[in-house]
Amino acid sequence: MAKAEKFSVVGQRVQRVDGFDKVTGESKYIADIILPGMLLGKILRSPYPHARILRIDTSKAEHLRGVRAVVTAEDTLKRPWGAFFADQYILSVGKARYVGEEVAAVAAVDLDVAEEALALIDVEWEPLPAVFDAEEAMKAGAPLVHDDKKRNIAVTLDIERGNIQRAFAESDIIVEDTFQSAPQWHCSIETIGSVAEYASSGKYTIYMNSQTLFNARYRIAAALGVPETDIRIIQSAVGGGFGGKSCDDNNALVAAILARKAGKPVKVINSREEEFLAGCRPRVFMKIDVKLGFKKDGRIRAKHIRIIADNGAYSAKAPAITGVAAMRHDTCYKYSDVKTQAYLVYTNKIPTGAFRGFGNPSAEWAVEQAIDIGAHELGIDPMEIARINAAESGYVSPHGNRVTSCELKQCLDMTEKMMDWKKKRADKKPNTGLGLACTVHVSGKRHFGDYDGSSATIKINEDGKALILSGEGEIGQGVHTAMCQIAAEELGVRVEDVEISKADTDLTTFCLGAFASRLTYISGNAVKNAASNVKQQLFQQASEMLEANADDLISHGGRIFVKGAEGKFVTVADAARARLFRHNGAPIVGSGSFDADSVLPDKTRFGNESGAYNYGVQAAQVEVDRETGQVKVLQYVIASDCGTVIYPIGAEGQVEGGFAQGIGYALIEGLQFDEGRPVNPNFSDYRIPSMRDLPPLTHAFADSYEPTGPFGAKGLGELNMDPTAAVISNAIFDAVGVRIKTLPITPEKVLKALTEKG
Amino acid sequence: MVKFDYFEPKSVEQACAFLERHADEAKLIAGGTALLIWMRMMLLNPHVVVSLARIPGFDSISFDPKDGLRIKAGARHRDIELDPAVREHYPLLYETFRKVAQPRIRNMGTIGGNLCQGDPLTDPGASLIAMDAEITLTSSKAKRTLPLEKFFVDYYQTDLRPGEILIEIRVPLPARPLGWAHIKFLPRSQEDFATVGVALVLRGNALGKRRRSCAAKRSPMIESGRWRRWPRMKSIPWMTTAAPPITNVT
Amino acid sequence: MKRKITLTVNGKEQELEIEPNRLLLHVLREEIGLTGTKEGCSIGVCGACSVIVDGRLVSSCLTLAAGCEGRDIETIEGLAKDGNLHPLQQAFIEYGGFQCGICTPGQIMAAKALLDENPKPTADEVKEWMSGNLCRCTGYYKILESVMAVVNNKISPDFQFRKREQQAKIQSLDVYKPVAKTD
Repeated sequence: MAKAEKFSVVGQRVQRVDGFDKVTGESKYIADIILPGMLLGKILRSPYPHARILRIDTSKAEHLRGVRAVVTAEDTLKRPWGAFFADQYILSVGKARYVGEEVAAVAAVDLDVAEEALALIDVEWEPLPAVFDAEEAMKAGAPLVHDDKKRNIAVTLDIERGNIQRAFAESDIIVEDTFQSAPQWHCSIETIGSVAEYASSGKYTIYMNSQTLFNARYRIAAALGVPETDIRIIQSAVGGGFGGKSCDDNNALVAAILARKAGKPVKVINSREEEFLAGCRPRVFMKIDVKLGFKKDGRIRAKHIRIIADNGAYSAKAPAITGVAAMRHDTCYKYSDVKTQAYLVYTNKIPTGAFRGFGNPSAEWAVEQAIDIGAHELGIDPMEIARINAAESGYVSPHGNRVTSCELKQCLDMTEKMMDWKKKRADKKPNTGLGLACTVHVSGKRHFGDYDGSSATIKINEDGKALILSGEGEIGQGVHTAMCQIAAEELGVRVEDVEISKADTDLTTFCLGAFASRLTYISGNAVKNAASNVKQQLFQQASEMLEANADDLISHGGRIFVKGAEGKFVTVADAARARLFRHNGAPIVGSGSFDADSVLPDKTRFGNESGAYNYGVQAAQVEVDRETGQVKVLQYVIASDCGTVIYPIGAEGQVEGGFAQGIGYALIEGLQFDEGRPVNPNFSDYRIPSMRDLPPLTHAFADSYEPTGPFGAKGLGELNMDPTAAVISNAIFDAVGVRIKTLPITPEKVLKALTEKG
Repeated sequence: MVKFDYFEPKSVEQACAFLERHADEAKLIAGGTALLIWMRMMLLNPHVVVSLARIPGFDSISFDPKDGLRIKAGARHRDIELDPAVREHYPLLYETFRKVAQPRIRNMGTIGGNLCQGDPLTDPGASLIAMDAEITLTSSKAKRTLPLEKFFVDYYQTDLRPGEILIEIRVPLPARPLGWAHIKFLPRSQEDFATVGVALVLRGNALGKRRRSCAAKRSPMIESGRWRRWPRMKSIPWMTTAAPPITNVT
Repeated sequence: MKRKITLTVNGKEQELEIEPNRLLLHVLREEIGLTGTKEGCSIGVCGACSVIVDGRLVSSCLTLAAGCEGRDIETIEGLAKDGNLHPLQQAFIEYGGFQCGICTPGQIMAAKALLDENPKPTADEVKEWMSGNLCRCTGYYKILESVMAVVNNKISPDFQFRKREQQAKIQSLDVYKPVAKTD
């Protein structure tokens, strides 16, 4: 049930707090940071997918004029690190396991010298047999990527809830099929980069364009073998993250050890090619077998999913991503009996990892198509099948996910209306078709220790303005603006009078960062709690000044007054100054924390993984050219349930941007591998959608309220990346009767399927 | 990128002299859109770069009803697109050039650079061949004119000889009525290089039945095999069905 | 061998001594200190480095600085005049035409070059022109909306960024002056 609440700042189309700097070019991204005496670093990368390093000779490079430091594994602790499994090294120890792996690095006075020096590093390689396909890698006798990982398996999941055998036996029809998802690169227009400084006292200061600063600090500290306090990370402006800048790569670590050895600040920025080869960790690609049992009336009775996921050479976030692909979607519909089996497998390719949607886009690509197949077999409108099975508030998934708010059915109604679904279905034109898919996502995920929280501090300056100190960071999504709105709403001040700091691990308190669509919900709650704390202090001070009871006070527009007596007020500035400029004076400053009411999943991966779940529905009308196989999206519709919309411009941007990446994933993006090496790793050959590639889009937000969210809000960032590929494929089936089961959906595949169909 | 000496000759003769003097070490630069990518990737490492950008008149476009269209090699794609004579008398060229990449690249890339690069992925070659374009090349020693079709040898290979500079493209005035079409098949992004590009010209009494066609088959980097060939004037059977309807008659 | 060149950047003459292999992008960013122009793909595809040279929109990552001798260069830093944003900059804020902002200088310069040439483009013309400027965040819908807002005069006439001027008035208070008691 949506709860009507009147807000003065929340829900307003306010200006972005970082807007001015971004439109004037004044924002300082990582490449724009220049420190006195700064050197530039370049990394020598493995040309082989799997090879032993017999010898590295760096002496020629060291003697090149202009070179200030050359580092190899000998300059590191040779200690493996990683988000979930410690299995990768800063620089190759003994052997390299994929093309692009960091082997050595150089810091020099300019990039030309650094590149010249790289060419002078002499590495003697012994190429080893390599394995590139996850299924091949699982076979007995396949080359081992890590000697201690039998059959190259990093993670195995085998979970049954309910009684799957009985559930299939009780099903009226069974749908079974195999779908393959594809790798996808983040393609942030800004690549990963770092500027590291080392003080001889032992402290590293690292500017990073990371989206998870404190996680980065923890991992960097572990890899360098120093306490967290000896690492200070400052976030530069971040030119796009999408999961790719979650510090699962070695860029910052290489900069740090170069800076230590050179005794000067060192900047290391990935070239676009490096970004493809070994920078951001692309989406985990999966082969997914789905088996669904339906009752005649359309109810899903049983679900069995089997996933083989490609981990690449090292484990970044893929262990968690595999789990999400295996189980998250069971929160979308009312399931009782499910079985899930998954294998995460090492190969000699770039490590895969977190990309907007985590495991969801792969799982929804498969499951939402299987449901569509079921709908067609049963002769039920896919819209109805979704309605029959849709989750509702109060639903608890078989894996223990507790849904506190869910407007999936409302989203279906909205989609039906916006698409004019019924009429379009009734007047179906040749070669055009409609497709639909539902989606669910979390608002934060409890998997980094038993914590899915955030903290924030707010101080009131002498001019009455509030400054939020938060370590969550801003990566472009606009969350800083949403945080300022939440603080302003709670404090009763104008949004223009709230500012927010940069994220800096020395100056802000612990935060997990931008992932799992968590910030509006989790950091929003922390900011709200901090603001509430500050408001109490302001009211205390104001109550003395107004000679009133603090409980009777309210604030609005920066004025504090007794309810019903607006004429007599003190401003926030008055109160802050009165509190400060006096004997025993003190600034007004308050902190707030929030930890989601979620559960760290147990050994069987049972437990409510998130504090809130966001839902959505997407639908497409497409036209297929039978002669070329080309798919044209005529119209696209999206309905999203993200609870209260705090910052509408930002929220709309998340929907539109997520969808655009979904369109890329569905129809455009792909890169071939040749012996483990991505072929043509550049923007000319790996195309992302351009302005001309995006179809007409109508979208809207459900009337929704999340009881545990700040002012009723929950997450949104990833939701609309998740189902798009399945929506397009379902629409193609409706249009021309062929089903595409591998991504991306190219005209060649459609044409081939049409030819085979005859 | 390698360090190089940079010259900006003020005449074609001067440019030819630089080329002759530095023989294998020199590269010409016009728009730079292709050369600088290759240099940044260290695929080309010339010690001398000779810019044609400051030669007066090297970017001019002129039209004469008898002589046809003369495009100097330094004309940018966008200059050609916006030229009133091109638009009026050569609608196929207008249509082709306005669809090359996007305005920023059309503002930079020159027609001479495009043709001399010999990249079959680009658009102008096919349309110019269909319009019977001929090109003039010059060196310190000699000047020659040949049909554009003969210039293209293979993938990234042209008949450009050492010391030569492409200076002009001439396109005769086509007889009217003229039927024409240019299509690109862009299976991925509208910003992509075409997988297949087709330029088609029908003229005189042959309008209505195909007389001459020209097709460029290009590389799909996506799924199936990749094969790149240069545009050749050909009668291709599938053209009869796959060719666009000839709705453009001027 | 280094060359002396003179560029006019945002109306100001800049005398520089550079290697001929320096790209305009890097000279703007590193020699002149104008880091608003960004490097995205390094091969002229993404448009993050778009600047206007002698009235033409170009990729500064594929332009030799030496070839720009005597030319007139406009970058994002030249758009706001006397602290007042260019209408396009204002529209991008009002209509949310950016998220991470790394492509934004290029987007705005591309839009400016279009509007300089054609002040009243249609939405399709804007799409065709702007499609060489890649953005991974927005899905382009709000970029198009922002540009069309300028075309159709839909930007606020009394725009102030986060009410800066009113803030200035507040800041003029002497914060160290003791606060008068309310009695």
